[in-house]
Amino acid sequence: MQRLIRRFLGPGVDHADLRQEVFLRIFKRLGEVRDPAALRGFVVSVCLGVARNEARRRRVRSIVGLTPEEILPEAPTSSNQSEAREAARALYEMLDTLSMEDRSLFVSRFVEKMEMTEVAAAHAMSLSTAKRRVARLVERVNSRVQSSPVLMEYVGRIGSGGNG
Amino acid sequence: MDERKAPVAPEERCERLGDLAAQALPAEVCAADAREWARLQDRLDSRLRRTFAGRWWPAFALTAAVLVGVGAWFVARRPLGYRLDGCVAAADGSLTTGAKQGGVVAFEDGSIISLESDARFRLHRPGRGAELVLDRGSASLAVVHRVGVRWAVSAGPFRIDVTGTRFDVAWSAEKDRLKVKLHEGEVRISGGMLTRPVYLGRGQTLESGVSRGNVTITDGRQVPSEPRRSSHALAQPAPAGQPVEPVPAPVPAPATAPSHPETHLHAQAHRRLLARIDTEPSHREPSPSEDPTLGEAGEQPPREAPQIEPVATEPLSPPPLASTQRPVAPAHAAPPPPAPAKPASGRVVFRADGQLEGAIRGFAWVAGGTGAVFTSPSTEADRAHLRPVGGQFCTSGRMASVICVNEHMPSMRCNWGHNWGVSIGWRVRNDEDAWGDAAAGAIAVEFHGRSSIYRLIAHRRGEPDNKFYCIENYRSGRVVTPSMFRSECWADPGEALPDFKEVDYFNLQYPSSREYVAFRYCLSGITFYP
Repeated sequence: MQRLIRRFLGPGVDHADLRQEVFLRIFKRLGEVRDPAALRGFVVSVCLGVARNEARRRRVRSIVGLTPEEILPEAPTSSNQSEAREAARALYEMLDTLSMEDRSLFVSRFVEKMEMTEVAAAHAMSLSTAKRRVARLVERVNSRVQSSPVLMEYVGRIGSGGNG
Repeated sequence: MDERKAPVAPEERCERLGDLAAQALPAEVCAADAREWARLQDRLDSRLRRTFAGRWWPAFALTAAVLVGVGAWFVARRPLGYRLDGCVAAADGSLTTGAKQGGVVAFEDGSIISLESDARFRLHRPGRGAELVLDRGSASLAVVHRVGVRWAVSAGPFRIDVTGTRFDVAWSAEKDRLKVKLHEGEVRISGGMLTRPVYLGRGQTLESGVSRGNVTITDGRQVPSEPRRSSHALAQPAPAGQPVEPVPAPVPAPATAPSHPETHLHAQAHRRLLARIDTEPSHREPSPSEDPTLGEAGEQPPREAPQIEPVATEPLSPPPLASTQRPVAPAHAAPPPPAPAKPASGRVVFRADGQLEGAIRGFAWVAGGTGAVFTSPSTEADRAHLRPVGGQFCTSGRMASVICVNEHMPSMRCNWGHNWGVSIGWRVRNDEDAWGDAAAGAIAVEFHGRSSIYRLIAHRRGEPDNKFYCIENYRSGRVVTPSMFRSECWADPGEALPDFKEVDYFNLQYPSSREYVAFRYCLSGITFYP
């Protein structure tokens, strides 16, 4: 849950308050879960919902100037490569330009490596709809990556055999 | 450089960017993660297990309660069952009895209607209780009193509402004659030419005809040897030569005779009563010889001691009001009968209209101080002329506590004068005059109610209302003589009451106290001794 929230919002401040919010929502809506097997998907959807709300708030705050600017802090990456840090910063800047749903789809599908059925369940949509949305998401991400030299460089280098 | 520029599929690019994010923000799965999931799942399972019973039991309870309520309602609304004996059903739904044999309708609640021969009737059972529609013939009803149950008899244009009683009713459309004879309880008769409902008390008989335009009420307690005379008549004026001149219905006497000048006299009620008095047609004293319909007095055995004063010689007229009240119009002031010379004795009979008969002919009333709030009687008019309920004069309500200042000091003062309590009182004469030579030598009052110190009070005609004679802590049924009544009885023995001759009213007082109390007491009997 914590990992999902962090990866959705990117590196930054502690998300303890969001974790509490997730738990509150889970226990409040736990009665809606009829099949215990659906619990994981339910928790994921709650996490994504909480993260989306938080991302929206951050975006509004940045627009009205409550924070100077949404500059990502230095990411505590495990890799010592400065290129990877720079690419991660560029990645989240690019994700900020996507809609909340696209961002959520990207995190769940490509960061968390969820199956398409899980993605569909977490976003309360059918499998075919999820596939179409993900396909459109891939196109959007590619168009944005192509306009970002840092990401193009990183993707091309990784694709050419670099280990990142 | 060539390797860097190798084409990458869009999907693959996203995968690589995802790996970048995952690498930049590694998973921080703690060791307890699996256990937390298990615990959460357990909580979910336990919640699901108790969901059915735990969540739906209020709904089950509510449903059961509703079903029970609906069932009870249907049972309560079920028409009263009955059994017919000696009655034949006609094609039009009416029931008839034989030409020589009567019939019986026995209801499942124990009520019984006995019909004379050659009677035709119908039964309506709208719900609880029943209505007997008497087309012709005579019937005797013995109705079992139950709360919320309504019984009624319809006879031509008349309607008789029954509470719990035993009475006979006869109706003949051909002869245009209704006769109701009450043995027990009370009935309310309306319809026909009756402009107001008439309450019939025990032992009374009402006879009426629509076209004749008169109503006569006779009292079955008369001495058998004397011809029956009407005690009062009601409805519109009858043509000359009719047995009884119609007079207004019994007019409630004003709530005068308070035990204290600060008594509520219910001025509005008095004004209404006076207005009614002024608008009623005048009446004259009936002539017994003119009443040919009342020749059956001999059939009725006497129910009281022979000393009971015949009640038929005087029409019921509104008694004159106290000096502080507006006098009654002379048109109503039928001359009171001369007071009998011998002392009154015997039991007082409580009539349905609040009148007292038997040993005296007065009326009962209820009065209260400023701190009294009545719940029964509910209206000021009823208070001014207290009607018996269940054969007793009752009152109930709440009484504010007496307020005192300078307590425990010589200058202590309390508002006893204003908040003195409540009283059920009775005039010894309808004309509010002193008792006179007919005064009894002793009196006993029967009552019951909440535990308190009751006072029996006598007031002498001509003396201020705040001067009276009383017996403190009077006990029900105690026979007391005039000398036992003392002025200022609660503080100073004072002077004794010489006799009852100058007494114009008595009352049984429930005094106020230093506490806020609910009062409830009933006057169940008055007996005078020579």
